Amino acid sequence: MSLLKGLSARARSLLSSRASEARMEEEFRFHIAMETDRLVAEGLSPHEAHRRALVAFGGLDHHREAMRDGRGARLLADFIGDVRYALRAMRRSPGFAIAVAVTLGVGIGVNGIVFGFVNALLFRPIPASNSVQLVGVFTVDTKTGSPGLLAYEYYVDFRAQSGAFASLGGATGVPLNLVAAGTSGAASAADMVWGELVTENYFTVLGMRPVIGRLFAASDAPQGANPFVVLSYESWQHRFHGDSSVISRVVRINGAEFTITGVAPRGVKGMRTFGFWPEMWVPVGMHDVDLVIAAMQAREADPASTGRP
Amino acid sequence: MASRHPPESDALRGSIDLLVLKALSLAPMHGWGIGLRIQQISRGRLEVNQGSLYPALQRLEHRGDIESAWQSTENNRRARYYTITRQGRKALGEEVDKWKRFADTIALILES
Repeated sequence: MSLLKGLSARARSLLSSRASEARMEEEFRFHIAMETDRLVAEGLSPHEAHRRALVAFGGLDHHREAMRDGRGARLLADFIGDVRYALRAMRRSPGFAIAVAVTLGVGIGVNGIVFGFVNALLFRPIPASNSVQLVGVFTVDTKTGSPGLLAYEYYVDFRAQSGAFASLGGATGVPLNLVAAGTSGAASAADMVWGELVTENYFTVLGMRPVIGRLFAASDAPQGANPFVVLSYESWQHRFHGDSSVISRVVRINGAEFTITGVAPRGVKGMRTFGFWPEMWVPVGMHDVDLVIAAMQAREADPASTGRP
Repeated sequence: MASRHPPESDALRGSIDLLVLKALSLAPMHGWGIGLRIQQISRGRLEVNQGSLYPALQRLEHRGDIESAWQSTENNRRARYYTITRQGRKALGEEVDKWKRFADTIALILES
């Protein structure tokens, strides 16, 4: 009980050094006043009594410092004592100490990783110049409430007739088979990359400017006549080593030749927070070529269409 | 007043703690009262700055040997009253025993 009171007194003086100072000053004043009264009662003049009371007390500042030192030393001694106690406890049960250390380590580590992901995924600002004015349009499943995709025809209708938006762009993720000659121009291997089919006004709606080259423009709208590709900044850096001569270079996507026209701003990973981030964007007009892979995958997944028994 | 005050030796500091506990074992008291009581008990033989009491009181309170609270004196002044705790009584008993053994040992040596 008294141990608890000692602890609480310690905590009080630790937490409120101002309160400790005030209490000290009041106690000192009270002491001098009482001593002065006692000396006056013995027949001294009040002035002389006060002087003698101060002398008997000893240097006020000296005692003030001693009190402060006491509080500081207490702090340090407590800390050293706590550390020593902790070390003793650890030595007594090293298995438990290791278990706790590992638990804490893993816990903190996992927390850090999760926070890193959440920070990168959820709190990533949409990399558009006018992001406050941006809205997303989805269909919603009335039963599950989960968002779905909008068919291209609906998109065209919305864009032409809704009147609610200054402009409306569209994008959908698509796996692409990419064959790009390395910067050396020699060996080139086929790669599976994630891309996005986007409407020709996609980058315009987002107000983005290319790092180099050009992004898509209205002239890229015609169906099937616009084999152009815009690279993400990261893809440009990693796949093409940031080489600025990639503009106008021809790459093969799903077997067809596409010309690189530009590089999107750094950090642009499409509008998705989760999922697959596109390495490149191709105009939606090229969907006949771009969606071939998806069609092939569908056929392979269905044994009936491969003609096997 | 402006004279230097050398820090008390450990022995004196220890004896102040002991004297404070002894004074408080009789009845709760404020700082000035404790000083007066110690002077009375020692019949004025102990020359200690009255102010030295307060670091000792703080030390004992941190240790849990005494506790304190504001109260009014009979003259209606606000004063911090100190009370000895059960732990403090135990510590006092042990210290007194230690002093007695020490004194006995010295006496034994001197009388042999």
